[in-house]
Amino acid sequence: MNLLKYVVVALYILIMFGIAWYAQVRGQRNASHGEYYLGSRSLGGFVLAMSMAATYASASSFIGGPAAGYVYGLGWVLLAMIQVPVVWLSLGALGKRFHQFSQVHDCVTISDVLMARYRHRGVVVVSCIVLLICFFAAMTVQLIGAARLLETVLGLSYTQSLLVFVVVVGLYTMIGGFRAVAWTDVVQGVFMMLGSVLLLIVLLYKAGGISQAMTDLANIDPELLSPYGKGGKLGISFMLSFWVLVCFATIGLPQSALRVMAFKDEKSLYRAMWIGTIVLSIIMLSMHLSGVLGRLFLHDVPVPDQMMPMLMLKVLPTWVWILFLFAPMSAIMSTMDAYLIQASAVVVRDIWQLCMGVSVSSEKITTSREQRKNYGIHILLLLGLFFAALYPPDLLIWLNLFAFGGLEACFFWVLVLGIFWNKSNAWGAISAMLGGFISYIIFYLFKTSLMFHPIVYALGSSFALFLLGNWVADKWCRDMN
Amino acid sequence: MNQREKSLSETDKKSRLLWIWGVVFAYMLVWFVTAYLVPTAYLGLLGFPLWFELSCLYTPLGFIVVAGCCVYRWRQ
Repeated sequence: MNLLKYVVVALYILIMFGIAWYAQVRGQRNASHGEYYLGSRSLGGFVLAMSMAATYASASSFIGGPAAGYVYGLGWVLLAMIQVPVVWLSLGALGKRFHQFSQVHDCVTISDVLMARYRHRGVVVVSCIVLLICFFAAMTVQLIGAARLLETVLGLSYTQSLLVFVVVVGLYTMIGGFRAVAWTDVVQGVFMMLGSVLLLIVLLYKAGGISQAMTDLANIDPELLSPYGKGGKLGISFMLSFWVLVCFATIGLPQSALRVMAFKDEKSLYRAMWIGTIVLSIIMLSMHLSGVLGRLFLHDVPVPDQMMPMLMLKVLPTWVWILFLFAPMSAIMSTMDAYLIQASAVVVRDIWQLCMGVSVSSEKITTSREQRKNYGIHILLLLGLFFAALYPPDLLIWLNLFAFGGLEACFFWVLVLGIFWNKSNAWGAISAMLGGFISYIIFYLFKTSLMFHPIVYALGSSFALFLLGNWVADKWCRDMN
Repeated sequence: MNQREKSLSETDKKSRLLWIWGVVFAYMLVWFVTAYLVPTAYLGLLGFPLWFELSCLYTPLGFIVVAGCCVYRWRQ
């Protein structure tokens, strides 16, 4: 059985490398930064949809979320279903306008867009710093989760599992660039969808059908069937906050915005909005509902995050369990590769260009020296990640708490107002980014005494600061003239 | 593209953006009403509590259908 495990995992890794190799062959005809970081804007509807959904669904959708479902009951599934419109909104709201802008100004990264729109280095500096901090912290935590998963299943040591993961994700991203990231997302998305639906079906079958399962849940605790969750913890203000955090504000996530820049044509965009919504809805519903049903099979789970692996070991036959391992592994890989390619873009292009004073464009990669520089920086980044995950600094784990909401608070208004408000200027943008990110951290520290989630207050402050900064700079410019 | 066509496509874009947001807010409203205003004691067709079936199964399904119709129209 042990050998079979290794063979199956090796096969999965080979598929990823195969995709990356093919992506590289396809991309070589047009070797440029535009190809490497954006796949030459050629993503079709299906690939874009899967890439959006797979990037959005992370370790928390497969481990943390279902574990919360186990604790709170059906109310947590209700909360998870807030995420149904995420792909629809994050592709549709910025949509064509953002895509056109990035195309006209030849932008390859989010920082390029900000530079083209606000024409101020300060905006790019702030964006690079926030992106790097958040991406690095988020990647480290995803890596730790992935290594623990491999450790449990394959019986490797923590260091070995970490090494396997860093090498696989690092290499396929490095070889194939954005195109490989998007294509592997498709395969990973399919694994996630199949895995989660399969688990739900098995659980419902073993529980003796839906009605029986609901009766048994009610016998354990009737509050598990209430929309307010166990102990009434999921109140309406809590839910409304989540509408902001995991639905509306996701428009501001840089990894989503990057995908908006990469689609091929309008038809692909619309198709992706629809298919992505279906895929994400299926994953969210089945995983969280499985978490709730887990209550029927496991009565005492010491650490909530161990619930999913324990549940799978208990209800699935071993060979299905190995296949199912791919679902969370895919979720982690697809989220991590999206961060990794963007982090590498920030270092290779944005920071390099800022320091060297080179102009921003999607120029051709002409020399092998330049190629080597890209690979070198990529490898340095991976080494940093490896050691950070091996000896995780407390600061990084702490920063990860702010990564998701912090990115939203930082980029939401800058992207939205930058695209839809002609009068927005650089000082408005800088104050909104800094103010949004910092106020998110501050509000987070005092979150117990707040009525809503910190993201609501942070977005409010960011908006106010945008208007204030904009007005002051405007007035100052007028006075100068 | 002449001026008239250009302004037409501008209105088109705006109406699509309105639809995109409109569908999301409608989803939010129905999600809210079905989750919190339906009595928790009732059972649904499949055997889940009625509020759960309405808000977590049929409402997302409705969202997907409406979104599909929008996309179908826009792609013409």
